[in-house]
Amino acid sequence: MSTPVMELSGISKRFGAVQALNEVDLQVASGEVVALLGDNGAGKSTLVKAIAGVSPADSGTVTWDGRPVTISKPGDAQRLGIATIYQDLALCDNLDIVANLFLGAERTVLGTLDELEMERRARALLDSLSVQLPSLRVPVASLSGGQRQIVAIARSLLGDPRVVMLDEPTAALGVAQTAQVLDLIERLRDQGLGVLLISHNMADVRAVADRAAVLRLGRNAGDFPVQETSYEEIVAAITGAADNPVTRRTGHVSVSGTEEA
Amino acid sequence: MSDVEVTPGTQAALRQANQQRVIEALRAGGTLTQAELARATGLSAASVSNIVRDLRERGTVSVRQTSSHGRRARGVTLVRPPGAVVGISFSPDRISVALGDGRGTVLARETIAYDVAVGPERGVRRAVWLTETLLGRARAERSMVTAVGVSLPAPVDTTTGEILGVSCLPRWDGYRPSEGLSERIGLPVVVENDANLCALEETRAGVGRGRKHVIYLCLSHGVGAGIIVSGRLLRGAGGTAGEIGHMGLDERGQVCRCGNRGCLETVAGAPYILDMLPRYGDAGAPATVTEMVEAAAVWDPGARRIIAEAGAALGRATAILANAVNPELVIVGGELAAAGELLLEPMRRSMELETLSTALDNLSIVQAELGEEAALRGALRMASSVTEEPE
Repeated sequence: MSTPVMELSGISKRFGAVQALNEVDLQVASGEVVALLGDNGAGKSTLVKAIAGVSPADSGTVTWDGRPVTISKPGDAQRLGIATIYQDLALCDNLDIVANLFLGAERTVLGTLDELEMERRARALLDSLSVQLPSLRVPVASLSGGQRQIVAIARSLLGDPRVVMLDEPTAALGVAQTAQVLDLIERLRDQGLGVLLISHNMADVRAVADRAAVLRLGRNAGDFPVQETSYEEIVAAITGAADNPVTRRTGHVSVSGTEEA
Repeated sequence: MSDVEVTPGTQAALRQANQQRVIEALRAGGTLTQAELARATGLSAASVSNIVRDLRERGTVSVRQTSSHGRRARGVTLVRPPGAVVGISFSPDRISVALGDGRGTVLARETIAYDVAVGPERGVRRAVWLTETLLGRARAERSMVTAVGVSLPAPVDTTTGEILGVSCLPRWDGYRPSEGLSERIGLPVVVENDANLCALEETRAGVGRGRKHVIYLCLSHGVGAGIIVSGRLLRGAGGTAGEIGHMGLDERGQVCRCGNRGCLETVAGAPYILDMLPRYGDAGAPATVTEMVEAAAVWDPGARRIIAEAGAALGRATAILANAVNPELVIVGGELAAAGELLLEPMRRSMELETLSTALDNLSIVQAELGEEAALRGALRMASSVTEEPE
């Protein structure tokens, strides 16, 4: 595996009496899909918010391309090239696809919106992702759940990110739509982006992820190469079924082993 | 259900009627949670809980812990003889998966668009995903499934299980799909060529019911045939029997992807015939065979001509087969077969010119009946026969 684009080490975050993240490590390389797994309350969302700068970590270091950086606000993460797509997608239902893609980053010419240029760029972007949408000028409200997810992901790509974080992109989608989103994730990987995929669905994770990083109660609970690890092993790490002192010690050895590789 | 007679209008009769409703709901819905059962039957959650407890004690249903929308739930299933099977059908541009009960009934199915030609690893990974997702949504346990049948649009070596040579999945050449799939799914996997499966399924449940000497032509991305002689599928020494797409018909024709010139596929295979379409500017020619067939059905003389020529070439190729095998029925299937008489009429004419009249006497040429379902249902049937035959 190439050197990671983004490397987190010792990330901790506390909300009052609750230690939400405790010395968490995570790496994402370019052209790699990493699944971030964990039960409810394991700290997945907290970690994503810390990376995105929405709710910065209390301590720990973030290394970007081998250089230490600080992420203290969302703008920092965006400038580095981290794009985050949250579950609610933050699309404006009444606006069309082009307007949504360029929301907040509208192109203007002589003080008016440059609709032609925006539509041309939108089309080029969606074509590069082999995405088929009926028309770029229909309101987003008329799109299916999968298409909305795709528009939200495409919007994040306009800033030329290097790491894309997807929070539950396939929750509440039908089978064919989920397949479209998985296709898109594969294409992001083919284009050399690092993808951090948060999901509860083990089938989806096994279909696209290269590695699975598991969090449990705010700590690292394992880092598995997905293709070579059985479903049961990963589920055991998520639920803590393997969580007794003996297995934790052996588990720890294998974790540090994969980190060195 | 119960063998005790009950008086109508009593509590006992009501309980029995309610039990029957729960069982009917389970029969229709497969595995349901107790909450879903309550919704489906209109009974209260407490009554459902009581009925399920009674049914469970009698061994009519099985109950297991599951989760629904992140909450703990109790999944209730009718106990029925095990032996569910999974069928997977790969096409160059899509993957279909079906769950069947082993007696030919399809319990659930899904199709997704996927560029299968991109490579075996990815195609297999996605097919496994679709299978797991389908099982998950049908709330079927993997342990209920006894075997997986797979249909592939490529010849499969009968001894090694390898994908052979030139096919519309060039990157799958030499890959062993049964090994790759069974490693990931953890179930026995059997693989067969799509034209062969279609031929078997059409003679069992389609237009060829009861016929023993049948040729099935699969007109899709490539052109393949499934040949049934005396009721048995002809596989050949290595499994490539029926690859008629590479019969040379025109020594001045186009060069085929197989390296020879003027193969049947260069006048009847989807990519070749779509390339032949005249372009009418931007609005463009049909992009798929189905669109082309629709255009021809309406009017499009260019599309009609191409389909007619494909039919004539198919007729010549089938004539050679008919002289050798003497079939009673030729079934034409695949996307192009939807053209109906536009394709079959020229095909019959060229067969008349080149087939022995004695071979022609009892031969009819018909359109397939089961459409693209044939391969998937054939795969299901193949999977259920795996469990019947002793190893």
